[in-house]
Amino acid sequence: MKAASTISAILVFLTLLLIGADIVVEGAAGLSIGTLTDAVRDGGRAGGLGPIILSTVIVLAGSILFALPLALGGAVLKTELLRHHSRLARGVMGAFEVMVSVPSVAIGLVGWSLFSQWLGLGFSLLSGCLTMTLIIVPIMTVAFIGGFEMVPAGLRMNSLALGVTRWQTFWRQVVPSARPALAAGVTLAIGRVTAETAALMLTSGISTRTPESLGDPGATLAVHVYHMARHVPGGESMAYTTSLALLLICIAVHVALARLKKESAA
Amino acid sequence: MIEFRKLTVTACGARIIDGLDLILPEKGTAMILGPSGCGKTTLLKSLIREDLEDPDVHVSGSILLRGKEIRDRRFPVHRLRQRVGLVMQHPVPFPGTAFANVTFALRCTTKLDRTAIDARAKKALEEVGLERQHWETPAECLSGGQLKRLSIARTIALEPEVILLDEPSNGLDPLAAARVEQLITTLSQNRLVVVVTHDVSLVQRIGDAVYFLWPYRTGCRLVEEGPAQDVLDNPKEPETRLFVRAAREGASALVHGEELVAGLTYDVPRETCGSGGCEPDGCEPESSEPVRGSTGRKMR
Repeated sequence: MKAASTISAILVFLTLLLIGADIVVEGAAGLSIGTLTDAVRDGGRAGGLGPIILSTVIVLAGSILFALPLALGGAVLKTELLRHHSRLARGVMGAFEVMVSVPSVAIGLVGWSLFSQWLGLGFSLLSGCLTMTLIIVPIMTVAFIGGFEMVPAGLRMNSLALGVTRWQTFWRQVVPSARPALAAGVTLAIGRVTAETAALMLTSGISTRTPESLGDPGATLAVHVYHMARHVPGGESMAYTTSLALLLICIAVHVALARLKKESAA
Repeated sequence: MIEFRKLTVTACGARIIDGLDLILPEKGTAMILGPSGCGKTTLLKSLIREDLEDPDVHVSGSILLRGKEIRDRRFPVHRLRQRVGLVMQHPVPFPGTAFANVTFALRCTTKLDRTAIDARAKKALEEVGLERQHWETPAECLSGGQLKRLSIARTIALEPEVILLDEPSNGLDPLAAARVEQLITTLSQNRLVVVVTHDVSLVQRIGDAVYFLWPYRTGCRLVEEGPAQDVLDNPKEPETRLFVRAAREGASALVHGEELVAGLTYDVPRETCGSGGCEPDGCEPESSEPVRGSTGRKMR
């Protein structure tokens, strides 16, 4: 049993090492400080990733900003306002869980039809942000609900018994106690947004120009990787460089959130 | 001071308290005594309207605090809980230091400035005898006895008119229990302290008045009440006699009360809890204790 576990662990580690090594070896040559800031040239084969990184940051920040209050509201509704085992509470939870498993390309189609077509936003970063919001709200809500429900009921009651109101108890006791789960929910959402391609290709497009407003189209790093690898002859090298940049950004975000979690736990 | 009139409490379909009539005095130590699972904690929690937090608990009848109905919608529940402070059987530490635990409710419920809040917290911590070196310790690192004292400090810092204590010395070593008892005696000199317990010796040591409850098939009812010493020395009702004798003589007491003992079942009164929707915390913790009488004797 122990040997099998060790072999599995080694296999997983080797796979990760292989992926990491492939991306680093192929992409490191093209990566420099200039690559992170320069504009895209020659259809993406040359130049840097400045506009792509900017689009990624805008889509990431926008969708997290839109999703955070919605997810928090959904989690509060489920854990604080609805009767725990009521049909409505179970229905709300079931709906969020189903939404988590809906393929993102399907939500991308809805986003394209709803935001790009019906609201007339076209291929734009705003349309991408709103579509990604649809995708990450259920993920964040389910994580937040898990976090709030893990807070012992006794903590709430000990606070309420002192004459502290329900909302004061929620904001000052429940939320701080659930902070690690809240951070985990945000981390998952960030991972989903940075990795998403299909839904964003349908809504924010594949433009490599520097966006000047939320109404402009823009490709995120993951979309750019796909586009360079599949549709631009000679673009494989830049696809690897973009992958490496994406990997480094993901590691940086992960480390920052882990540190935040550790600090809040302390 | 506090008057229960025809108080009936049901939880998850089971009747826990059945039409209880009870008047508690202005000050002193009022001991609510009875077997585990007879509804003592439920009675205490009904005084701070915990039913509002648990939709599976239903309360009827009336509870008057200084003549005012606490179940009246016009009586804000957070104000009630500031006047009637409950120290739970299983206190849960809030995140943060012991000192922050005491200042938390003061910051939320009063308009005192920081200096006044700190002074009140300091006074409360000194009163409960929590050693100064533990004030800045994270509350979750405190021992059971220290946590119990901290939880009393959280409550008395708010200076409530009535203090409710649920099994205050449960799980404490004799020294820690003695400190808590000493504290209860001090606190009860100028206010009402209601103590729920199944410990007869505790009633003997610190009780001014005792109210003995018994779990009948139809729910808990008051069996006997009076000055603690009188009730314990000369119990009038068979249930009280059996209980006091069991506390003093152990197993041999059961011979004299076979009918009553046989009437107790070991079912969980709120067995639907969990599947039916009660919070686990709302269930009586001692699930293996006798909880329901089947004698159905008519009591006063």
